[in-house]
Amino acid sequence: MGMRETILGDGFYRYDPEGGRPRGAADRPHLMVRDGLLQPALEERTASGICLPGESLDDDEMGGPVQFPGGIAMPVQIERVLGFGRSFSFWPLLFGLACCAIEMMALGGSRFDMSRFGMEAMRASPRQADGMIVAGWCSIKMAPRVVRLYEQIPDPKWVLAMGSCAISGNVWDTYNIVQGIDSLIPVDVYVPGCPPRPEALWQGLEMLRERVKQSRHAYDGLRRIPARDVLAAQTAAAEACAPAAGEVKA
Amino acid sequence: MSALMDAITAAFGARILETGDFRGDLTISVAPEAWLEVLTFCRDNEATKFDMLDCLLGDHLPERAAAPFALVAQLVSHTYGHRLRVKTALTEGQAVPSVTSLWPSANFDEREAWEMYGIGFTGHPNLIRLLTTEDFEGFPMRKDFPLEGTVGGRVRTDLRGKI
Amino acid sequence: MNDAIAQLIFLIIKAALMSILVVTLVAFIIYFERKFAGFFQGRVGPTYLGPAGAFQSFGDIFKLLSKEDIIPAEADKRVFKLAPYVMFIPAFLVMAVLPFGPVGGTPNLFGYRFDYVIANFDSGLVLLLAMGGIAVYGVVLAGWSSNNKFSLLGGLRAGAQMISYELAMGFAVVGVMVMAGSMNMVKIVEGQSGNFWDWYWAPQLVGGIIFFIASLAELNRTPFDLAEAEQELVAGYLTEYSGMRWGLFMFAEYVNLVVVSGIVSTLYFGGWHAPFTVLDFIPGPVWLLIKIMIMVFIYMWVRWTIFRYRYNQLMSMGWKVLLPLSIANLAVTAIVIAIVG
Repeated sequence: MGMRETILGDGFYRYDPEGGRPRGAADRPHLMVRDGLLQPALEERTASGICLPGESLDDDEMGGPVQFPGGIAMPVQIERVLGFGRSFSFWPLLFGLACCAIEMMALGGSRFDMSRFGMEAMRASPRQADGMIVAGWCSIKMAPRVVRLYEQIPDPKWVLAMGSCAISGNVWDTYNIVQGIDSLIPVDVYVPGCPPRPEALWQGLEMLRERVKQSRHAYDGLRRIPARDVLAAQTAAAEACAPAAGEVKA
Repeated sequence: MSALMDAITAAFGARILETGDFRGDLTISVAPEAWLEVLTFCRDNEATKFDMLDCLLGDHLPERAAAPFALVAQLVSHTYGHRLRVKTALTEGQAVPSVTSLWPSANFDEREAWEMYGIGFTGHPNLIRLLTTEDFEGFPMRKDFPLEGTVGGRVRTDLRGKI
Repeated sequence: MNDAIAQLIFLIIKAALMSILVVTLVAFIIYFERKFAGFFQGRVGPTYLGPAGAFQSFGDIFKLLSKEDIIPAEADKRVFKLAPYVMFIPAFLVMAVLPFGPVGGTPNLFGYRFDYVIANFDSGLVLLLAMGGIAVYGVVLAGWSSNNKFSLLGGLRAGAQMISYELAMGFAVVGVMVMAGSMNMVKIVEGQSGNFWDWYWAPQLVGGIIFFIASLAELNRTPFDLAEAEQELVAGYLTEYSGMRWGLFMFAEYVNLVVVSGIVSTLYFGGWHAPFTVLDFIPGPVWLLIKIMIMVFIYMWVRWTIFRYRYNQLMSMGWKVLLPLSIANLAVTAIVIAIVG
């Protein structure tokens, strides 16, 4: 239990040969983040624009929502048209971490050809990418780079965790592997497999395109987007009006 | 024994603690004090001429209580095409002289041996961690290091602006 | 209505039509590029957005328009915003001097003379070279203002490359100039009237090849796309550009592709002339468009077939091979013209 408190205190495991060693899911910080039990490095998450439910951020810190001049939120019809365009132009970051990246390359090759849906333009610069395919295990030394690359991608962005290692660390429950990339960045679609076949990745990308089409993001619950707030308020107001009108008619 | 082993044993005599020849795979063991001297000889002598350090690695043998650590250098000679393995046994915290002055490629190998096993190298130009984060605690390839759990290191997302 | 007003109205119509045509053409050329890339690599390329994926570029435009616009905090913001336009506008301006049909002569439209060129002036070729020079500024400014080492290296590479190839390009063009006896693009096309063996590609074969290679370098396309070498420089001078600012650079690149194809067609392949005089009943703009599309295909063919040069190879080829060769070509052309007349 002493080990556990060490974890809770400063948000990372410490090598402690005397105090036993952490085992099992309950000892992994990212799962606790999801349960709201633990808030490691909250300042860091806030700075990256990712905040926990119930937290709020200033607009400046979020990189800015899509707004028309005058602060008018984007109408939902336009958002749908844009979503349709985006779903045919999802350019992933040219970025692979381990063996899963080979299968990702196979998807770009002539047999599976991701260019059919306009995805072959894998951009080397995160500024021009629309999302990441986290292909392979992520070591704790690489993790800050992965987070940084994610943060450099302009909004809107989507993340696909490819392979068991990116999802959960796979068998590498060891000193140097991040136990699931979703402890660091919000993930939209998980593609299990070791490594997944290109067909599996393709299905994951189809699911991702569906989310792109609907303009749904993994960070929806994590950060507030003013345009979306306005839409939600309008929907709520319309729903509040509709039963009232029905009663009058009755 | 080959001419190579003859040359080495002639030069060092009893300071070569042990020799081995497993199907032409030559091994010598030396004391840590003779480490640099033997390797310098191996590189410079006309009969040996090991111009390349293939790799340099550490090892942890906890069952060998007196000297639980080992340092192994694999040498290759492009002149003669022969190979040699040079070993030494070390105690906890014992340092050996760095061989980066002989083969610059030893730089990364020694850094890795240091970060994984805690084997010190005196005279190394840049003995910092190579594969793990800078603030990693412990030497992960030692046999007493926990096999499971994200132990020792942590994700330094606070460094993401500086890398 | 006097003739001056009519010419002004024609000018506005021509300019508007030309820019609309080029913009539309570029949208489809980007699609062709991706489709051809698939073709050359044994893939199918974009397939699902529109018939055979034809509307792929419009999906990209929707996406790029709605992407977050990032300007790095440390960047020189004004220059950063200016750079795409410095790249974009010169590319368009060169279209003004390209003749796409007969110029001068008798009134041919509603009793007025309609010239098939936007700007008919004597230094058309100089404008072409000048605009190529200004485009270098766009690249260098983008690389410099981003305040990123990859951008800077990419910008410097692209700048050095474009400047060193511009010399060879200029000397190659002078050969055509000597043959036509004018720098006016209209005169150059008129000098090539006749069948396809009367065009300048035959006497200026060496110059034409030099011009083609140098134009590949000017366009920053493979095998000379070192400025965007992804293995070394992330995305070169475009590293920090996102969304539609990056889109403008890409757009300018493809406008340049169309323009340079038009210039190659005009200088060496007879411009709007039909390959055989019996085919003259088909209007000039159609021939020019066909020639431009063929040249665009050849540029794409080269891009997806040949791999990238190393930087020192690029420089030594520019300075040690193309430049002396183009000067020799000019000297031979001048001597032959002086003797034959």
